[in-house]
Amino acid sequence: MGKRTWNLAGALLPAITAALLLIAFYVVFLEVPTERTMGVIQRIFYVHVPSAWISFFAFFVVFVSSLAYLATGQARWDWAAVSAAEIGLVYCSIVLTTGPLWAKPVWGIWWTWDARLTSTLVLFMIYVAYLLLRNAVSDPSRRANLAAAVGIIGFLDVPIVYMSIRWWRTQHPQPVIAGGAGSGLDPEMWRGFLWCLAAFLSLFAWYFRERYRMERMRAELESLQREMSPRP
Amino acid sequence: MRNLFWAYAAVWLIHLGYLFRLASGQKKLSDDLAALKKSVVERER
Repeated sequence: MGKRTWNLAGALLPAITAALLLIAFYVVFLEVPTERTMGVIQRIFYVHVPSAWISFFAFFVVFVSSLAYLATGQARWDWAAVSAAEIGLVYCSIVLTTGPLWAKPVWGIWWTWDARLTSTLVLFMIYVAYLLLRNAVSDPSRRANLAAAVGIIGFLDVPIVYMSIRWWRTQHPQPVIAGGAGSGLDPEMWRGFLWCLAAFLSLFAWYFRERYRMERMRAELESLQREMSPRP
Repeated sequence: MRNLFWAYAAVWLIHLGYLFRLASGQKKLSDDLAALKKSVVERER
């Protein structure tokens, strides 16, 4: 990405994101119809599902960037991987918070150890471990190599989370989107869902830019500190 | 209804918390970097 595009993204993304969020919440609360059986609590769906999709996307970015780092050895891929991992965790924590808040009035329980919920919690813990590992290793090259290995292996849980409600009988609802015959969304609900997805994706892009910038500064700081420290 | 409120409140709080983490993290790194560059210049003198 050119420097000009990078700077333009920095200037435009906050405004685009704010506009998309306003439209998304307007559509979700004032235009989308209320679901017949669950009532208003179903509106949690519009933040829960897009957040889950964006966390999958973020962990996919970690996977690709980790592979690229191991193939090229360029630090920028490691910066991209850690940035995406942290943002993926932000979205995954939204999934794990909004899910139980929806489940309690609908199922009567906050949590159950079914395949979807358990594999999502495992996904969250994998990327917490990824960040903890990075903090524990001080040598940048060793840290990047170890983190890349975890970033690649950890991604294996994403298809398991996605397919869990297709492979196993779960308390979690069966797929509404891409779920085959009998599944699907009302066109008005689709509109709410797509606006939320666009707003959260724009937020992801903004976060990514800012987090990547932070990682670049950290790398510069570490390199200067190494130059300054007395050699044995 | 109460859970719907808390779900959307949680979404906002998590995002605001992360924005704060990004802003404070960038400021700290930028201050540390400026201080280190200054000490490099002073050492070279």
